[in-house]
Amino acid sequence: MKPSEMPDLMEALRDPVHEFIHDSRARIVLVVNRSGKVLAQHGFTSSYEVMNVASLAAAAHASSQALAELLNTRRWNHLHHAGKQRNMFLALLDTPLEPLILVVIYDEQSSLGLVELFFDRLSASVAALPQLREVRRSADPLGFERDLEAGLDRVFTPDAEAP
Amino acid sequence: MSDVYVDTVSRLSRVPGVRGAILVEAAGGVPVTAEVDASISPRAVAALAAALFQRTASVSTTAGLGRLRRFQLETAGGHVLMAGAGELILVVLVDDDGQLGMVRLETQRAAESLI
Amino acid sequence: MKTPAPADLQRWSEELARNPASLAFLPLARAHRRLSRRDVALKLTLQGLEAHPANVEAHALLALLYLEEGDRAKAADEWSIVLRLKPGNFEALRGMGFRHLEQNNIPKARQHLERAALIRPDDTAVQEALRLLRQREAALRARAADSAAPAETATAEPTGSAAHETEPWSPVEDPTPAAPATVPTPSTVTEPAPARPESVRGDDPEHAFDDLLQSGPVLGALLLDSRGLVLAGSFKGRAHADEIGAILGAAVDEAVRTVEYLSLGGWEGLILEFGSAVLHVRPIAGQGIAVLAAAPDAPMGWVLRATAGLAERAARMLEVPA
Repeated sequence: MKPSEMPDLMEALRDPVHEFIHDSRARIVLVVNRSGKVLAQHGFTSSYEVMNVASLAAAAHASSQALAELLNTRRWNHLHHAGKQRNMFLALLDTPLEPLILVVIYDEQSSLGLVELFFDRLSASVAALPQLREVRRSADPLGFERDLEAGLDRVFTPDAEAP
Repeated sequence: MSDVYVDTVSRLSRVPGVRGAILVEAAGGVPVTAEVDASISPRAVAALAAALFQRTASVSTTAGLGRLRRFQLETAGGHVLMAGAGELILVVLVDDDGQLGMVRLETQRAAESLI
Repeated sequence: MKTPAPADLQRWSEELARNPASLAFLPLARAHRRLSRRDVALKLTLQGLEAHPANVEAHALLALLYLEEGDRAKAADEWSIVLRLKPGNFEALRGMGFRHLEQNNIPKARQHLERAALIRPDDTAVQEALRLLRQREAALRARAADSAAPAETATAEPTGSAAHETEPWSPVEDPTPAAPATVPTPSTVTEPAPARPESVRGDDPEHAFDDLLQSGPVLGALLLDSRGLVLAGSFKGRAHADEIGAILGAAVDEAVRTVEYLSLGGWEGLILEFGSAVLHVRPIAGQGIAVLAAAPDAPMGWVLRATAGLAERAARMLEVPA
């Protein structure tokens, strides 16, 4: 994926991901690429937490993918970690540009069933996004860091909640 | 898969007017076993019905009403009956013109047998 | 608004001429709209939708065009389609929120506007509409509580920023990344005359349904607004009406979501059976919620009938059809 296409991707993902957060009642959501770079966030208060979770989630995804291949399964539908107060759901979100990792942290206000249900709807929405089929090519070759900052500013506003 | 669970759901689904019966794991909102019309998604019903039941049950504990035992959602498209059974919830979908009295009775008996 | 370049117009026109099913109709229609050629824009969009009936952006553009023509009903139809195709579309949520607010359908207006506010918390038009909605709800509660006050005239205006409430509903910019030149504002709607709440003992809303509580199995009767706030009624014993109202507000909220997602049509009632009571809950024409609580061993058919009677009384109090 080209750095210049990233703002378009994040803009296109904004509404579907917001809808997912509203419907699933997730507390924290990250959209991460497979290298661990954060593309969008909801619910974190500090960039340190975001970066840590993003890189660990990408690593968890990579190792689980290796396991899937060892077991002759192309890939897992999702990973789920159940905790006492919080749970984590991690799944690959296919986009026409590149697969992204969705990291969802939820508590007793939601459930695995709800997160799975609305993740499926999110996946279908993202796959059908017309904007991602014809990405406008920017005439101005922006640097990756500038694109990331512009995208984060435009997509989500961090909550005041603590993770 | 427990025979009791499968038999319970199967028996309920045969009651006239019932479009489907699903046994749901309450905390996760995921189906344990289901027998439903082809047009019904057990996963969707399980997730949403469990959220409805659990959310109401959790906020009502302090109101002096006692434990939530059953919840019935009346809609233009039929009824959704939910009955608590320990860590499970029995969800039954009924046609608008189904014999609700019979379905309610059978659902209650089934839920009690699972506890 | 950015003026479309002639070269772009030509390119899209040529593409559409070569392939009538091309998606080029969309940027071309938008360009004609910006050039105030609305008839051309409308024709292009309608033709484009024949080939692409599920194109969300085309339906959104059609909604704008109808709105600019003054046909709000058709605009609302298009926004409904947009929301069916893409439930989280901000412009459609906002548009439907305003439409429902204009029609004084408070619960629906709230539902749409709150979702829109979640998506864009800094949208001033949405925030203003929510403020107006809260004013109306407060006015309704005040009327339910103040039965001794003389009826106000039908032209009474809500307090607040008069500028927003008297401006005509102006169309918004295309749903493409660009700041809107104008934002839609709720049109002026005169407040309905306040209902004089029916009461049995004095003018105290808490005792509005005391006659029902005389009946053996009945433990409580309430009229709530769409958010679970108590408008009238009470409970026997230790149960607190406010607490019950809050529980039921949450239950209704969840029930609405369930019904919508499973395409079961509208919700018509909830029956909640607890260890020490059974509650039957019914909507009142989108304006409120009637609740009857009975002993757990009360015959269910009797409970349903009793609630139907309560719902009729509540509708009269709110001056809406039952």
